[in-house]
Amino acid sequence: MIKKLLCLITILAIFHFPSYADLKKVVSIGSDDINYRFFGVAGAVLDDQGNVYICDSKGSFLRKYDSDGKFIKEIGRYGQGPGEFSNTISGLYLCDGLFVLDTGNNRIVELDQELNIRRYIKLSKLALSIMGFSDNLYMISRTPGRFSFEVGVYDRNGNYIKSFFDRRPVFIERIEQSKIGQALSLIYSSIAATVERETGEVAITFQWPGENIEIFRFSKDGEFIKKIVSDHIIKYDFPEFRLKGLPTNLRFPDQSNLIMIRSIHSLDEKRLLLEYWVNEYNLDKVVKENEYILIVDRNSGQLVHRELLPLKSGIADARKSYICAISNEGDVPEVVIYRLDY
Amino acid sequence: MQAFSKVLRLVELLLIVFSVWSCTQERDADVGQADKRTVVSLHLGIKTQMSSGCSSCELVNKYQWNFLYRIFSGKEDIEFVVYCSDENKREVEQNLLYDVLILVDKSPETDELVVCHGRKTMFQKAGVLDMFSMRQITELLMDSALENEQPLRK
Repeated sequence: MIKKLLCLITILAIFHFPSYADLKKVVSIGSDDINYRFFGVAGAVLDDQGNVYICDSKGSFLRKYDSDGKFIKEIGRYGQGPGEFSNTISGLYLCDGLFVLDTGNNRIVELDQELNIRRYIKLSKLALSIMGFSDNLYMISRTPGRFSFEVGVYDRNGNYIKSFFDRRPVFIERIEQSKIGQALSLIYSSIAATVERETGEVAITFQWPGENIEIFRFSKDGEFIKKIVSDHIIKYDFPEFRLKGLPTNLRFPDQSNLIMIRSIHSLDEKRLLLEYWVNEYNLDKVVKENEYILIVDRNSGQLVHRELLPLKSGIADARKSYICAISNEGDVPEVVIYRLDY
Repeated sequence: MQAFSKVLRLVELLLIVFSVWSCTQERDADVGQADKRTVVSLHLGIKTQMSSGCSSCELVNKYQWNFLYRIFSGKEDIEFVVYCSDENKREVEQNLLYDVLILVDKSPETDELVVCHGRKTMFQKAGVLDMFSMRQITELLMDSALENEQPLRK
């Protein structure tokens, strides 16, 4: 009887309590040395050799470091001309070259991996983030005339091809009536997306999940493949959590949780990584705050692994077993590469 | 006796000349010291936040300024001065490191960073300080720190 009880407790512990010991710090970049100093990291990306490329929006520069975190090269200064960035660089993506989204100058800068600028791609509309595969560039932007977001497909010259993903969370329908409700519905419709490096498959999720986390898979040409649902967070961690839209009087219950998916990344052809942030509220006050990563099977949506992230970090890129996190908190912003062993 | 008093007067005169000369030397030395000081000043602009209406937005040059302060504030002849309006005072006190805080009635449109060595302006830049500017300022302050360290090495 005792054995059975112990066995049950062990099983429950495995499923209910996350293992936090599997995220190993490999390299940390960021110090008061001028070549390692950042002022506001906006994006970071890893290549196959383990080099890391980092763009800094406040410093208006782009840098390359090797796999040991050793400084290799820096380019950029503030401005609108060649070799210059605005102080609103908002993203970095690697795919047969490096792509920097310079929203302040409304353009994408394409570079080779030695940070030589190949060309500029002028944007016809405001993009929130960029991704790429083969000849396609993907940009998340607002759907014109609607309170939602879409993924636009462009060729390498920035010419528009098509848009896809015209969806919104179901709970949005309930808060759309008033003016403030429309503004909120835009916020709660925001999406995060990732492109698989080998196949070009696009995975999209809502940043504010409803009762479940839904992930929509599309082909590289924007054809719908499958929807997968992951309900593990809610099932195991927060059974009381239900986000069905804000109450009409804009007051949360006395005790509630808020979950936001900050980003989604493709680890490989089988696994997706979700980065999410949970706030536990007592009335309007945050009483507990945590950031996690969740690894799910791309086909079934089943939970593969879960991990606690150091607070105030954000995942900028993930590749196979490596995760690139950025932190702009504290006196010295830093980029940390972790290895995920589980 | 007369010869003795003449010598005495001559000595007196020499003493006066010497004291006047030493006084001017001292004043020159003071002026020289003042000229060697480097003042790094940040004039906080009206558009000092990344986006208007956002209460949690940081001062745009916070990291850049604090970085310079942390690296160079230990040097005796480098002083960090922040100029800001009364309404920004609290935010400055909470976020920026400085030696002197001066409240002003009128602020520039955007942040301005000025580096003065003595009476000479060595560097001036408005807006957000990019890494290119930061490298320039760092080099200037390094040179200034080294220059002022030379007498100590002798």
